[in-house]
Amino acid sequence: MFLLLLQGFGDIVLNIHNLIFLIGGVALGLIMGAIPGLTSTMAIALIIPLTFYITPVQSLVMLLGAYNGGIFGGSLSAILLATPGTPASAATAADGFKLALQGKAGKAIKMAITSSIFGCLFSSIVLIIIAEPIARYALKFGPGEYTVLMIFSLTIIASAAGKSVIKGLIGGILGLLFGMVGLDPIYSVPRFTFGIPYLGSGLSLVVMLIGSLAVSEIFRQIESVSMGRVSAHLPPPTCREDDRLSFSEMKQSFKSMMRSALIGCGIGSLPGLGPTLAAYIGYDMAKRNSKNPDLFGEGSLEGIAAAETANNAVCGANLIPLLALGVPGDTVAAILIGAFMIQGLTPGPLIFREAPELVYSIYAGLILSNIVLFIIVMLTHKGFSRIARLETTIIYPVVLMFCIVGVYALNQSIFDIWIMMMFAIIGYIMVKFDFSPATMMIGFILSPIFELNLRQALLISNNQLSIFFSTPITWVFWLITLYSVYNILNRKRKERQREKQQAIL
Amino acid sequence: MMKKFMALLLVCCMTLVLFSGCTQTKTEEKFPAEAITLVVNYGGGGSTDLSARALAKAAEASLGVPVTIENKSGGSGSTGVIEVQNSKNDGYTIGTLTYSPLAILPYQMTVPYTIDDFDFIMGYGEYRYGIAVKSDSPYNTIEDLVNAARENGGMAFSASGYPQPFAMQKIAEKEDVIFNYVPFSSGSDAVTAVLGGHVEATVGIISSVVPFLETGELKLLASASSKRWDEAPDVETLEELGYEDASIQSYVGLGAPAGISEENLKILREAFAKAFEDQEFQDLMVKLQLPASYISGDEYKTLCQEGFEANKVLLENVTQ
Repeated sequence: MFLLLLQGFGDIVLNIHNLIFLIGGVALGLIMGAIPGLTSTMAIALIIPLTFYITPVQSLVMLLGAYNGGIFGGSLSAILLATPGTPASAATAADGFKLALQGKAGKAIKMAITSSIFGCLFSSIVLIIIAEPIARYALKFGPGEYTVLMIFSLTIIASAAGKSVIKGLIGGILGLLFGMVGLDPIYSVPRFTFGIPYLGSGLSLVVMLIGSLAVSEIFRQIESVSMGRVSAHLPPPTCREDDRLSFSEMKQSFKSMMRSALIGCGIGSLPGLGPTLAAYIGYDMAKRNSKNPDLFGEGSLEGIAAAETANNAVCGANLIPLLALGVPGDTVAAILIGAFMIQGLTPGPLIFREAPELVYSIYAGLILSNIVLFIIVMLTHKGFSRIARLETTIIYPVVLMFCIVGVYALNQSIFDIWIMMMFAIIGYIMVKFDFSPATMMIGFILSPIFELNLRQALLISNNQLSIFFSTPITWVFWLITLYSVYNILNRKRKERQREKQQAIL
Repeated sequence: MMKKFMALLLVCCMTLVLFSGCTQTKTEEKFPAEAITLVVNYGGGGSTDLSARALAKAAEASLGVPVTIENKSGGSGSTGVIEVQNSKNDGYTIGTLTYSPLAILPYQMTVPYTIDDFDFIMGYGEYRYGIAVKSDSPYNTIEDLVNAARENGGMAFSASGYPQPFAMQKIAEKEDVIFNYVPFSSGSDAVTAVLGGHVEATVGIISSVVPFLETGELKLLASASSKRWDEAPDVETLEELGYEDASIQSYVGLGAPAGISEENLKILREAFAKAFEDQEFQDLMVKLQLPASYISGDEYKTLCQEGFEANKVLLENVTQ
């Protein structure tokens, strides 16, 4: 196995063509990821036609490079512009941008790249060593188990909510509701579509994210400019320390990174959940266990580390169900299947037998893509930061243009732009009234998975609720859910006591 | 003086700009004179997309113009179909017209098109289906499944959307038992539900079932298509087992908006029929496990219409 892996490395590093395709893939993914509206899914869809003409190794390393680069690219714009480039980096935006406003953009980007790479390397190693057993174990997750896992995931809304849990719940429920637009997953009956065929396939996560987080941010900028506050977008670093990531800062975040890496691997091995959910869960867990939970949302390096490790850990772990079972974990993995098939390979249990060298080239490509990503980001991040120091009146019109073009390019649909604008207004109003758009996002991501699995489970069990308590896995998740709710209530109680004490003083 | 000169120059320029708008109108020109757009009604990288790309590449040779792919996914495959319906019927826009948005989707959502809104070029691939269970399952025949469903008052099976469940529904109808259809979002998800033991059986698409037949984790009980599977030639079809009309037909084909001129349709039909024979295309279809099977445009239209009529009865039972 080790020899095969070494051979895989050699195949890429020593062959200049393979290396060029890898670097090209990473760079393309990074750029597309960084531009709000363009995603790694699109970068990969762009590369696919090219794969007809290049070798299997070249096409796969290029695709993996774009995948990995794309997930990180989103964080760059999340940190520098507060407009996450991809859904997976939405959890990074709050803390990253707060740090950037303090002149610490360099520090935030370095934390993000380090933890991204840590997450991806960690999950790559897991993939190489124990892909097969994990995939077999993941088979045990049926609709019943998924449903309980979703119930647990709903509890993370509480910590994304900020001060008021009630407002968080309202946001979450709004998200669940938006997630139901489209054909009902069981009987294909249209819901909330108002007879518009475009709404039949539901609202797109990217469109919603760009609207409620990116364009609504642009609205706020327009508002502040119209009040006469024209300024440089970001301040320059105040001292050299602001651009550096110290060892002690890394050490402080290490526990969160480890935890997030495990969470990301778990979420990635379960098909259908995806990096965005992993980032939110990782962030939530880090906040609960942190020594400085109050800093979360106000510029916490630990928060960035937790979110970034988790979403990039999904990157490698997603290949576990893809390679072992032929089940794509998310939209990107689904497109990767097409790339395999062009080469005459069906991802699934046979691929390890039919083309072991290719599998190991994939492993090597995944690991090398991290190194390439690290080098590219280190060489270019100063340039990105410098762009972000331009005046807001220059930056945001450009960003808005990219948002519109990107959202249109998703499905070549003008209708999507209107949906984006609608969510921009919703997002703007939510922030004005102290609701967190993140809670809506989480609800929206969970909604379809939750509903589909709940109803599948009830169909299988003939409407017997016992299916949700039928296996040890369901019990474990019920216990975690209970603990999580207890934890939330406990924290609220402490907060109230603290407030009372302060009132007395 | 200078001002006058500039004004004159401006007028000249503007006239030129105006004239440049008048491109030469197409008169008695040989079709096709410019690039043809092929709208694919699913996203990039799927088997419909990849097969259409290979076909387009092969057709370029005989058409002599580029055939560019445009992916219009969404709306369960209807968005791309609507795009074709709304485009000009001059032959320069064609698209993939798959069976499900034409013959099934109209019962599930309001779509602005009917089958008559299209002229069909050809059908080129037939999706193949089968009924499979886990290899350590106690059931070895369709009869075993029927008996178990009768004893236990029903049995759950997985599939990834219509038309797959029709196969089980027709068996259930004939034998008077209950098979509960549990929908999954993709063919491979439906198969993993069987592997994980969450449902007893699946009506799966060939590409997601075959790998697990080879590893011995699944066993195929019947082919749910009109033919036996090349990969499992000993397993009988549902029709051979005595369930007439239980086989599922689902095609992928090409078409143009209705009203395209006879000559242009003929040129397109001939070019794509020739492209179908292309070795690279045929090889890709084998790789995609989407059996290549040619039927003429008229045959494909009839197939969709008959399917549409037949599905009416089946789907009305489901949604009640």
